[in-house]
Amino acid sequence: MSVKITLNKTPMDYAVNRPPIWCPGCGDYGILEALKRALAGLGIPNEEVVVVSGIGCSSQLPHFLKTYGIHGIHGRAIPIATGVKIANPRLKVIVVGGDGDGYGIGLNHMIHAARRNVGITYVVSNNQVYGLTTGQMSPTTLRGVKTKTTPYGSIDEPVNPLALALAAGATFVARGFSGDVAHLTQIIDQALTHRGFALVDVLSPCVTFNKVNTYEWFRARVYKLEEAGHDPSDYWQAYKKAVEWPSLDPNGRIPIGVFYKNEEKPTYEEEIIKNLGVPPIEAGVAVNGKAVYGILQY
Amino acid sequence: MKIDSLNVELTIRISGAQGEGVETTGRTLATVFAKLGYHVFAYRQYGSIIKGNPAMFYQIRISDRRIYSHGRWRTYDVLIALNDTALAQHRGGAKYVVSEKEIPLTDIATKHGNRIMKNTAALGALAALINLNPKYIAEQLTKEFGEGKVAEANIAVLDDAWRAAQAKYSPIADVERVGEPRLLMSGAEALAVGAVMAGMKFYAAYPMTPASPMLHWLAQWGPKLGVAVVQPEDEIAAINMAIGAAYAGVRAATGTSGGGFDLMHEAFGLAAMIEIPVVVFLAQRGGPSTGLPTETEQSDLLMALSPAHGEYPHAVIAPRHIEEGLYAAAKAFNIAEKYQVPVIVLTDLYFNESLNTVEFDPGRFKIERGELLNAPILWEEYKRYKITENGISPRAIPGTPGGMHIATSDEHDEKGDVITDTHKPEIRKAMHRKRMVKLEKIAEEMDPPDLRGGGEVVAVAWGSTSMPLMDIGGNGVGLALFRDIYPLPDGGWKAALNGAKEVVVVEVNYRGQFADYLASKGVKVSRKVLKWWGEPFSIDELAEWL
Repeated sequence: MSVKITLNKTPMDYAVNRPPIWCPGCGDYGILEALKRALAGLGIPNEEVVVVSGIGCSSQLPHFLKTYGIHGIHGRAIPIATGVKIANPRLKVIVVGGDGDGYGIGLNHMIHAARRNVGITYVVSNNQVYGLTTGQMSPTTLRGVKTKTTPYGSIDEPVNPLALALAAGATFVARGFSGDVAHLTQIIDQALTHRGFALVDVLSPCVTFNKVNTYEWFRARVYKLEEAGHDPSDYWQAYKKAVEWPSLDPNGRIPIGVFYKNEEKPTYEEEIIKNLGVPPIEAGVAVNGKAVYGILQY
Repeated sequence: MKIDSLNVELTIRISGAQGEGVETTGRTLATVFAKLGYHVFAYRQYGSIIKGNPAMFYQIRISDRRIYSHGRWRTYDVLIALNDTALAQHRGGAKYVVSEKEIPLTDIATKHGNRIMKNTAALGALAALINLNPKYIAEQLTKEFGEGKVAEANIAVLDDAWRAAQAKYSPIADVERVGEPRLLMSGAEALAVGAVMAGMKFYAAYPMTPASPMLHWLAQWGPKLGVAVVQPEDEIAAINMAIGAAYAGVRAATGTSGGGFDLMHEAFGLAAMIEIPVVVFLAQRGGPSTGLPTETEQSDLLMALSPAHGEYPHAVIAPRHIEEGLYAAAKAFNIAEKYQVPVIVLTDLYFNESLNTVEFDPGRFKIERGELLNAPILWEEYKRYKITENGISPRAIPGTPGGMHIATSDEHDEKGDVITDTHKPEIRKAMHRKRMVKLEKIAEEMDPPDLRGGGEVVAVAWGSTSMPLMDIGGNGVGLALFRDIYPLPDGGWKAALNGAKEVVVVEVNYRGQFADYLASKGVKVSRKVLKWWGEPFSIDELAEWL
């Protein structure tokens, strides 16, 4: 009689003995913890996880995980992750980055990954400011907020990432709050098991450069969609919830949770591999010389 | 200098408006000749317009000996003119003309249902002029259109025009079968086929002339050959996707032209920094900016030598003729993987879009993947960026137990951890040196220039300008033709060049970029022969200017 031993994973299994370099109190700690918990909960082997990031405070995150990953260049994490996922769809591919990285310089890539439904989880640490470059306006800075580059108050209308993702055809759209790690873990868990592109926008206070959108500011405003009877299969209801935001309504509240979820749409890598037969990684460098020769006969 | 005496040699220029079927006619005819066993070269001069430009042309040269270029520019044996502007513009260079003036091409086409078939009528007239049995053209038309009414109508036009022209012309040649069918392909197709033969499994590219034909070929055949092909939102995404796929362990590439490559520079540096093998097929056209979108130039050399900011190792390979494109692509992947560097395959519009008959030898492709780790390893001990003498650190790919690491664009230590939170000069010194030392090793794999013939004058060229020079070599002018551009290998080639009385660098740009590059390596350049107005060099011009 054989005995099957299953070792349950714990968040510590994804940790490295290198402390994060973020400021004490930074929202990124909450995201890192939620990610480790979600990975452990799903028991994904370390070597099957690839975490890709761009540049910014939150883009340092892969360095604090015991997984594969690429800490690439500013704004380009999604295309890198797309390449990884197509080459080897068995891998769990996660993109992490900030609002400047993902909603500013790299915004187009999110829209295109969403419409293609690439099977990656995109976690955005949205602190509404450029932190690593010491406090400039970001694409999600609220109107009127003063930063180093908006000393008289921002005149830019902020980006609405959730509405954009929905318009682009994203099949999983959610928002979490790094001040509520347990709730964020549940959201990331759902995102990681979603079939297709999953956006998890995380309200993640910058304790050093954003004195407006603080933990207290968010705690006073957030409410959970699942407790408000929201149906995530309803696209139009999701869209209405996505435009619910205090910049439009000073007394408004901020919904968190899963806004939209659709498992019906095939993923980009599924479509590609349907044509190829096997994923590129499994084909290795094998060449069908005969087939090539046949094609060249005209 | 005199051009080598030629054996059977025929140059046909087909001119007409874009949209008038010049290109399809040209390709059909080139294919017919290749199938009859001739060596064929076909070149297209055209503009950035879909319909219009009344005097674009397609030049087909056939020979019973090996040829590498379109040949002459100013004169040709036969002109096929599909409209009056084309006739007026090109008749001066032609010995014989096929046009409406000689044969009622449009009437013959209209009689069989559609005046658009006048290009087929022109082929029928040409068949009579060069004594080519029209059945060969008919067979090819059937192959292209498929059995049915369209093919039948075209063949009826072909036959009528052939009969009419037989009464008009006395044949100037006898074009018969001279051997087994030859393989005809464009430079872009050679690169695509070479990449597939090298085991490429991922190609992402954004459309841009003259790189697009490679994307078209791969989009068509990639899925049947196991290659994932993606058309992303822009060139930045294209190269980053290729980097991601390469990191995941498959051979990956992107392709573009100068303006697209401008956008890729940052990611090119990333690939060098995180030591990920990726191949960029860079096909030049006239610059700067949008420049000459449909005309050739070799003006991106300086960019290819140092595209991204900072210092990093990479390689540049510029195939000298279309057949060499097959094997250059394979060499690029091997260098990329063995040394974990980005590699540029540098071509141009003349190379990518011209057709040439080639020998394809599947046995010539060797795949060398370098130091890849697939078996489980001990995470505590694994150092992705281990300092080694040759600069190469064994690479673990995702999925390999214990190989977990973060490849980072920041300077990093052997484990791959960012070191930039504090000043760590010793790690920086060692890690930067480790990367740079790879250049010395890559140089050992680079081939010296192809030195041909003797003579007091040596003509030097790189990439596609080798093509016309190879057609006139051996007439008292020596040749030094470079394929492997960066890093340049050591060896006797420099002394050989400096021993010549005159070193003439020939290239398609204004500054003489390669001449300056060679001069910086200690080569005494006597003279530059340059052209920068959207034309490749032709053998009649070279004979005069050398």
